[in-house]
Amino acid sequence: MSYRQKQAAAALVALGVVGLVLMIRLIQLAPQTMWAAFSILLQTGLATILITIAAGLALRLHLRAVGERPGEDERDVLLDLRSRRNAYWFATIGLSLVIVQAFRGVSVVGLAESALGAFLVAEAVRHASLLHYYRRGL
Amino acid sequence: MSGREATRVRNRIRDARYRAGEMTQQALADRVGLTRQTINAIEQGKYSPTLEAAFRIARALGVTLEEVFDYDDGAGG
Repeated sequence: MSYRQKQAAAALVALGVVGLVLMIRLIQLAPQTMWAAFSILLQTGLATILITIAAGLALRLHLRAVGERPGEDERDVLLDLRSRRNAYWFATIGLSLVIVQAFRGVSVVGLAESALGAFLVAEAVRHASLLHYYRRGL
Repeated sequence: MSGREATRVRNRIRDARYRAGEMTQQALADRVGLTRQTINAIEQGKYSPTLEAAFRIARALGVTLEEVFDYDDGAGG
């Protein structure tokens, strides 16, 4: 597994953990106010960033230990672009559903949850696509 | 070549590396400015390099482009 594959796998795991924690918290707390929902969104965002940074640091330390260089070339750029394109479609569909929900009178809390869910799914698709393209080719 | 091939561009990089003094994938990657993983993906037919990278690979191996790369368009040519 190359550096990029490890990075994508780590991000996928991190997103899975964050998504699971988010879901559990939303079910447990059932936030009824905008502030409570915003707080959860903020915590989730911060957790995602911290986990991603921690995973990146751990990977770089590991690579330094085994003597592998994390370079980037045309293939990495192309696969990243293709993966982002896949994620874009999921994000677009997700946000379109949020707009439909808004017209149907769903609460702001519900809309925020859906928007975050769409973001998490899109990010998961991006990293899963990267892993797929690295393993199967383009 | 092994595994599922995702491209119709055939290559003989492995043979050319062998003829070029058993050059390693890493050595070739360093010469052409790609990663070893990308050289490996090209050899396995999982990735088609850009024309520019293909020329650099051919030159690094001391052969012409046609000696290393071939396009299978199904016409049998």
